[in-house]
Amino acid sequence: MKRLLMVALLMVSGINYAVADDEMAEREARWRSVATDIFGERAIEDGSTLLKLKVPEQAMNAALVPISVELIGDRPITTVSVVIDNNPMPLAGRFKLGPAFVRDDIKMRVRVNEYTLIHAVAETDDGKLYAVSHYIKAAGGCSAPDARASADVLARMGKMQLRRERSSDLTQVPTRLLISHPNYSGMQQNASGDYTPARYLERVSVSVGGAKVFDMEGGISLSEDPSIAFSYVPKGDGEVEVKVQDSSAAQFLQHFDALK
Amino acid sequence: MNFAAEKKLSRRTALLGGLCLCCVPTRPRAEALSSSQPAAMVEVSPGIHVRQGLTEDATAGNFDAIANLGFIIGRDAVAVIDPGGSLHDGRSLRLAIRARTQLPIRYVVLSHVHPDHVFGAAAFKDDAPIFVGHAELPQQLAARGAFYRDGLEKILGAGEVGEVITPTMLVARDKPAELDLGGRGLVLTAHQPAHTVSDLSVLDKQSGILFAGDLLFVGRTPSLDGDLKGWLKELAALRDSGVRQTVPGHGPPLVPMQDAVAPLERYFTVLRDETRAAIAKGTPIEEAATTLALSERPHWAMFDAYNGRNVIEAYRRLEWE
Ligand SMILES: [Zn+2]
Ligand SMILES: [Zn+2]
Repeated sequence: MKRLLMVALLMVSGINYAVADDEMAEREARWRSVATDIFGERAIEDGSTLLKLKVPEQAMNAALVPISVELIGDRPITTVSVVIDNNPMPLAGRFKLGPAFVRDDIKMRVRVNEYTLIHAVAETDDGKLYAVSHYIKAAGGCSAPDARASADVLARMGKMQLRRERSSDLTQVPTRLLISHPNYSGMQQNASGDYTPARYLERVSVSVGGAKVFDMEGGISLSEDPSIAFSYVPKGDGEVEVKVQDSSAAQFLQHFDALK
Repeated sequence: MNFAAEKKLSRRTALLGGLCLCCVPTRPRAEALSSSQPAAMVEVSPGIHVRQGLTEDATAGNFDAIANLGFIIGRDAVAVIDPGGSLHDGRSLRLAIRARTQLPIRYVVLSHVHPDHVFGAAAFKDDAPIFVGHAELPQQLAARGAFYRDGLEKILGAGEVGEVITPTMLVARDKPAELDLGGRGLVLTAHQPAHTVSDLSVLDKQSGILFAGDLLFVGRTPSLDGDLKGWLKELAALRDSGVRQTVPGHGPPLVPMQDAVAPLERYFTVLRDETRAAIAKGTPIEEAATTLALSERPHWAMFDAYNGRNVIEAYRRLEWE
């Protein structure tokens, strides 16, 4: 049965409109088709013993929805993917995990364009796929224009911050990587009424002292000024290196000293 | 008619009809359209009429009549300051003008880009007024007009949202402009990024009353869509401007300037300081959204609907300050 639900579209403007909730069958069919596009015909099993996905029930800002994927249990996981089924480009991020990655949370900020299931998919070292999912009510996140003319965002494009917490034993460092980038979805209108062409983070590679933390493949579903949180294993004095490439082939490289 | 009296009357009418006011917000749309009524105005000063917006979000029942709208009557002409949130809203404002004067409607001022303030503009097209806005407004409307219109049409229905009207008389930030209604001058000031990047205020020289648009919210939780630090600067400037009375974008039709400014300065200062502290401490944005500025909760209507979003907006900007 279809129900009408309210969604916070652009709370700045007093607009909350009702969207028809899609049916379970529709959601499942959509996921099967999206999963085939991304993972081919491979079987995907229930992943609730490997992953925990945290997504707000209802987003306050559909263009910036904070989500987290927690890696639980101890089966070796090589890759974690976040898929927003109903977005025009569903794969929000695919993380190939390296030896310096600490098995903990991955957090990111994403855009949600329509009511949708969000999937987190883990690939284990034996090549099997496991997924968990969560439904979210949010809409308009990919087409919402930026408030500012994006001038300030463009001016600092490629700047990065590494916000690190000092844990007690220093065997792992909880970290949040901030990358200034408009991450244009291709669905946002600009000051002349035209659509700003898509320009998004294609690849983000993080390593520490030469050891890989992760390689991430991104997409338009990442929010403006993407933020990725994770923990890494420090390698003595080895600095953290972050390499970013966007879909216009611009490259950004930054080094951060080891946490003392 | 006095605004309060009119409100009392409609309440009594509703009660006599056996209906409780709190549960009859939705009128059948066709009926309401065919019986467009003049908006309920209050004359806050000779020749200055204000319609108080509802403390609600847009619904099919309220025609997005949620912002304060007004008009000023001069010797030769009328200026509208915010034409309303929908065609219906604009039409009822127009009827209210015509119930008071037949003078030409020469200017329609658009205080900023938000839908509750601009989508009534099309109701004034036949009057062929000059549409006036901030120099940034045309670009803002180009980027957001269609997006807002789609969203609002989903609520009000396709024919109910007026077309996006782009202002032709533009006011630059460094150059206030003046309108003349015949012996009555209005000073237009285009502000720095604050509530939005397109905030324009209107000062009636004769009465000294300022139409502040959404630079001022009174009672209703403000929504941040421009620049938090910039808004605090504009509030300080308004506080020290010497203007004594103002028509806020949301809230009572007329309030003393200090009463409008002080609570907003307090709220945004709390929001800024607590957000900075949260960023420094590493409090995640999702946790910040539900835990910051809560001391302000008792002071504002619709707080839960807007505060979390304001926190997110402040957080993502202050991260890069
Ligand atoms: Zn407003
Ligand atoms: Zn506004």
